[in-house]
Amino acid sequence: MRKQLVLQPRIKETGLQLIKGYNFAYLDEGTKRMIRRAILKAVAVPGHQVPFGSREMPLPLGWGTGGIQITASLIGPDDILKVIDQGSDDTTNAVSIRRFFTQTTGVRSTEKTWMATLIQTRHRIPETPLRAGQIIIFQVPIPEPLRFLEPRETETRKMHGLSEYGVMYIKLYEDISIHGHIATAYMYPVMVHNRYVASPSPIPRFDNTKMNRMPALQLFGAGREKRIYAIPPYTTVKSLDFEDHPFEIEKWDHCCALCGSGESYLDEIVTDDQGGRLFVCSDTDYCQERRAVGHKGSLPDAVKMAITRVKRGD
Amino acid sequence: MYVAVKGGEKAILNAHELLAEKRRGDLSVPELTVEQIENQLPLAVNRVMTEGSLYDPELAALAIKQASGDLIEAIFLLRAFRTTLTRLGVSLPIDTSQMTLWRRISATFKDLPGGQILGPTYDYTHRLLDFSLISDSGDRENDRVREITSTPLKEAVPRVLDLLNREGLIETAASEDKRNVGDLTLHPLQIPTNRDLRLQNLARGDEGFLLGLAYSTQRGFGYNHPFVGEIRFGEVAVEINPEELGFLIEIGEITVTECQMINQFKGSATQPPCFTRGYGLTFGHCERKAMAMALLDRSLRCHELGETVDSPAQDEEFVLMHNDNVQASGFVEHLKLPHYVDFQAELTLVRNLRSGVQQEKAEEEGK
Amino acid sequence: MTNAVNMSNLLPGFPDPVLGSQNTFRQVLDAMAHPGRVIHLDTGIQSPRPLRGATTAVCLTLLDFETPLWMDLDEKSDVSGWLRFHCGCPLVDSPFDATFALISRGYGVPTLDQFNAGQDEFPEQSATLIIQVSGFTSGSGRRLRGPGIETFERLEVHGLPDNFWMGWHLNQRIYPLGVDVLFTASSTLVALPRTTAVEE
Repeated sequence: MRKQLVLQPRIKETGLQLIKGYNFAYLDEGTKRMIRRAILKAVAVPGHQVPFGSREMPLPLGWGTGGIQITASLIGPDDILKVIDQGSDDTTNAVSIRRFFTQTTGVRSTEKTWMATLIQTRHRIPETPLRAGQIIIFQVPIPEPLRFLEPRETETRKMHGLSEYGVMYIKLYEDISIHGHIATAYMYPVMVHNRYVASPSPIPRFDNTKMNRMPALQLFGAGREKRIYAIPPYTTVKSLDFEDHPFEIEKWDHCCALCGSGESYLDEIVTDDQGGRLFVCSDTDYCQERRAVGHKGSLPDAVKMAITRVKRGD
Repeated sequence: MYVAVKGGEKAILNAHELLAEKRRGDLSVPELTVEQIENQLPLAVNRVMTEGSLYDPELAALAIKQASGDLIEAIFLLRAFRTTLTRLGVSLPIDTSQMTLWRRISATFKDLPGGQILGPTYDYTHRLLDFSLISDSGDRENDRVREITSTPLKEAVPRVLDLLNREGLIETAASEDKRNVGDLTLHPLQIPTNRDLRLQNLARGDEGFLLGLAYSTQRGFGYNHPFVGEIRFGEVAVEINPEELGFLIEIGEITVTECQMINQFKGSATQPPCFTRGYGLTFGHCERKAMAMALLDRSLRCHELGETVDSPAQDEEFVLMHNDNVQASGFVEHLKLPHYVDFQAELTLVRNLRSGVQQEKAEEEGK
Repeated sequence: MTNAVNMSNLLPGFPDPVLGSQNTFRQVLDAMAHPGRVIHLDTGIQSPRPLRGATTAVCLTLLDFETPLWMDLDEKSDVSGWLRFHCGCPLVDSPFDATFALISRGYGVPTLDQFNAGQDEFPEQSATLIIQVSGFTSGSGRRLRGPGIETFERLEVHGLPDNFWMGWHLNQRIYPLGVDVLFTASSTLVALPRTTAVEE
């Protein structure tokens, strides 16, 4: 006989309980100091990957432990934390990481980009422009932009040391000769402060332009690969390209079906098995804020509400 | 403090509840105790301690219970606990020549001082399922056996490689080097590295990955003529030397398995031919792992010994950077996280590429 | 033991070590991300002479047994005992061996080329200099440009030898190698990472 699950959420809307027996923000103070020193050097040498003694965290390596260790070394009682994955605050891994910080620090969290002091992200930069004083922390799987061209760390380290990036330009040029343009859709390499080629983490190239001269501090953490790098505010970040083939970002023929935005990065939602598609903002907070001030997409309101519920997983 | 409980949160909580239920299984079957796991699944406990880098049989057993028997998950649990522990001091190197032996075998000599001690081993069992173990009655049979063999050999037995060493036939071990030994759990591994960090990395490495690579050396991918000089398994004392006291204190005993491989070395311009060593050490009884580790330790010494480097098992970066099962499972399994933003970017790109090709085709046909 | 720390007159560290260093680190990071900006530290700590509040807070936040320190003060000074007790950092005799340098008198700062500037593959291994000066004037003085600065920043640092800026110019030329500097004065802090170009 099939057993029926009858479950109630344990945690009320009043908040999660602090986990006892661990230091504030989980990491011990010695580890935080080590990470903090690495962050300062990363800021001093924009785009250079600083090795650090990444710890084993209670969340799996490859699931954001680099970003988590940076956030844990930064966060204090006055912070307001936003955690997103794929642009959304409510995807399971974002929820899981936010829970971790709520339970180890008691710090407030928010979904509002403008309100957050720390934004930990995977795969996106919010559409709402970040302001001075904010810090965005990227979770990075493979920090080495040259890794898929040269798998050996010993070799890529030398290339960075000598600023020898010919291999990257050759790869991009091969794309052009085969396809007519550069066929890299995400994790599109950037040149930071005219010295280091760096990986923007697997954000879509649509987000690359937001990195250039951003007023907020950008920190990148790769836990499994044990690297931290940074881009200080107002730093020149150039997506690699060629004079006759300048860098371009994705464009859609659609607007967001919910808020009508024609400027945001869109998720494609499969609506049926007959080729039906809908396009909606990937940044759920941006979309919500727009609708709150009266922007409308093409969909009837009832359908919008249903889609919002599905996207939020209600 | 306001934390909204929404869809994602609810789904996670439900998943955890369901997991707990699945782990417990049928309620009419008595719950497995940590004590039972520690006592009756010791080889699983030993593997979790070894690859989890923490000697604590009780916590390893707890991890196995909590992980529903998934040993890699259990190793992960133990590692995540280990990183939170305060380091109170550093022990002296353990002296395996003073080991209280449960088992000691050498493949290189028929007999030798101390003799061959078979000890508890599956080596010569016939792999026939013992159906008597299905019921509890098998235990009574074992009780009788236990009276015969349950004491280890107390007196110290010399190590085989020390015997060879006296003749100068084998290189001396590098253990005289008293400089600070590295720790890759505190500092990132930098390739190329030294043997201390290599051995630490291999000791933590996944048994399956090490086993496969070790096997590849035997099949010709970096062959290094190995003989099992000695495998010993037993208890050794752990001692510390607190600076403020100025004398040694024994803080306890741990069970370890040590494997010393003897490998041929043809000699070089500066060195006469002699035998070289490959070394493996694990917590508890992990013989297969210790042997694989010893083979890989030796194959990774290829640069130091001036050997041709052309096989995966000789490639330090390849072996050291990919053998950690906590890292590897984390990254392989992260592919199940949502990637729809990047996929959308790829989708747009591929659509554009295809429409470009189709347009060209149409233009050509139009001509 | 001749180097024993005299506990009777040892000053305490942060009232709350966890949040004290968290708060100070964020200020240091803010300074490093905005070179030339004068940052006020709310430290609330007592400092061993001749250190001032900002210097003390920065030391407590960044130094420990993994950071060999060179300083311009005597091994027998109050600061030495205080550092050993609170930070546990090894003191080194040669500036080149230090990952951090503590210069209590800005006027006496050694030339920058005496410190480790890092290597091509490891520029992060260069030294960080904590230089205590007498004060800052922002909005006038030298013109600073570089990452972290929107257009330019103007700053005068009081209590430095004239040749410091010549040395800084040379430090700039070996980028991405080079030392990074944290200036401290009473309870204020200014960072000068190696990326910052300074004009008269």
